Amino acid sequence: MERYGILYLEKNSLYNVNIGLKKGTILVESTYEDNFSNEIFKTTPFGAYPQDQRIFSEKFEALLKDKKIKKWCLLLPDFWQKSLLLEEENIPKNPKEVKTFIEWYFKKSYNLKPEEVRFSYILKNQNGNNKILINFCLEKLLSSIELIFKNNNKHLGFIISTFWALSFLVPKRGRWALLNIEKDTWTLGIFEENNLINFRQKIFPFGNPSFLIEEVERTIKLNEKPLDFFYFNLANSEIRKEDLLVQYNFLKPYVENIKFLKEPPIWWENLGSPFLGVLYGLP
Amino acid sequence: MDYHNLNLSSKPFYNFKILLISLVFIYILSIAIAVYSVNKFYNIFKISEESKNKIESLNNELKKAAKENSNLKERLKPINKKMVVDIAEEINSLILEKTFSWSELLEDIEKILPEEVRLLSLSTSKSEGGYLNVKISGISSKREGMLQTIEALKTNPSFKNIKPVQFQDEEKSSSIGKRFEIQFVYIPRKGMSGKNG
Repeated sequence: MERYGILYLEKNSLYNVNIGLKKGTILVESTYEDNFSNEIFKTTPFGAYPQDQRIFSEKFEALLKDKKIKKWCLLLPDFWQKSLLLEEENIPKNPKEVKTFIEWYFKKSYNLKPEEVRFSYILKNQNGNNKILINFCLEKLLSSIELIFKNNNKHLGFIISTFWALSFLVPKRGRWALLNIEKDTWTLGIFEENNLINFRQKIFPFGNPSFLIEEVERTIKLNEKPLDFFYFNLANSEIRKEDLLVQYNFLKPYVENIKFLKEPPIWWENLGSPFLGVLYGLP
Repeated sequence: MDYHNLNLSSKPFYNFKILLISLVFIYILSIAIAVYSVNKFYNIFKISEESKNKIESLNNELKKAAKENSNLKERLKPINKKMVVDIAEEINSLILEKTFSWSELLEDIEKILPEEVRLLSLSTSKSEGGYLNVKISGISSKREGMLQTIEALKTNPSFKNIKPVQFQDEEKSSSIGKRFEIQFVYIPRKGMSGKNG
């Protein structure tokens, strides 16, 4: 049996599910939950990072005691691991030049130095347009977590944001959209089969979902054809599902089917889908 | 788009199944390449051995040819120009003897011989150039018979280098006529055409 530990980390909480995979069956072996005080993380517009490595490490002591689990996956909120989609004519194709281009973009747009940020990207030429999807996170956060895992002889081999974890759950057919609503961020991706057409990620300061749906509606309207499927997920959001359901009617003229992503019933409310997405996304 | 590539881990998980399959494939491919290379090397070695033997036999042939060449050179060395010319003359005269026709010569002489001249004798010998020297002796009722014969001989291109040899003066001559001898080189018509041609 292959065992994986999945960890979700946010400003004030830590959630963990230890899973065993056997012939396509998912066995939940244990769960763990802990809270952080507000002082642990320093928040910036580009995410957060631990202020004190020692205090931060202590939080993982109990978690990493299990010797059976060597392989670990880290799930981060969309606000901590952000993504952006650039569509430019002059995006280079050579990996070295792409790296330089992205570093230049971070410096120019966010005043972030190359050593401050870790990024991955997907380059795509779609109908003659060069598109680049960049996924990035503060290096301080990732290297602090990786150091803890390394010191405990664990392999942290998969680090992904909730939105992209959820995308692994969606059947890639027709024109579809995925909306992930978190405590402070919403992320919307519009896809055609496996290709990302449009992408938006915004800070979500309002408690009322009507503002959010208005923005989503405006984005969807930009598409020439109606969407075949629209998938929602409320990942640990404070918005109530019922409140969101009221707003769905506004999207109906542009969408054929509206669906909530499937959730494993025994896990934490609203966090089950991203955890399941990580398992689906394992290589 | 493969969204797995968005993974930000510095040591990402790998799909070991694919890795294993790739390794097995690479292993099999390497063995196949190695076998092919060995086979190719063996063939090249074999061919080179054959080529070596061929080169050796060609070298031997070359040495043999060079030896023959030097032998021939050695044999050709004493032959000087004079000897070649002599041999050529000898060969020419042999050809001339073979192609010489008495009836043709007598016919040619008869055609040009003046009426008052009678042919008494005709003898031939080889000239220096490999041609035929002809000496005729005749008798003429007239004193100018010899000169007329010489002039007549000159009209035929087969007769060259015409020289009077002997003329019997008036006192010694018999009542029958004046005796004379003329020598010339006879080039048969075939010989002329052969030479010209």
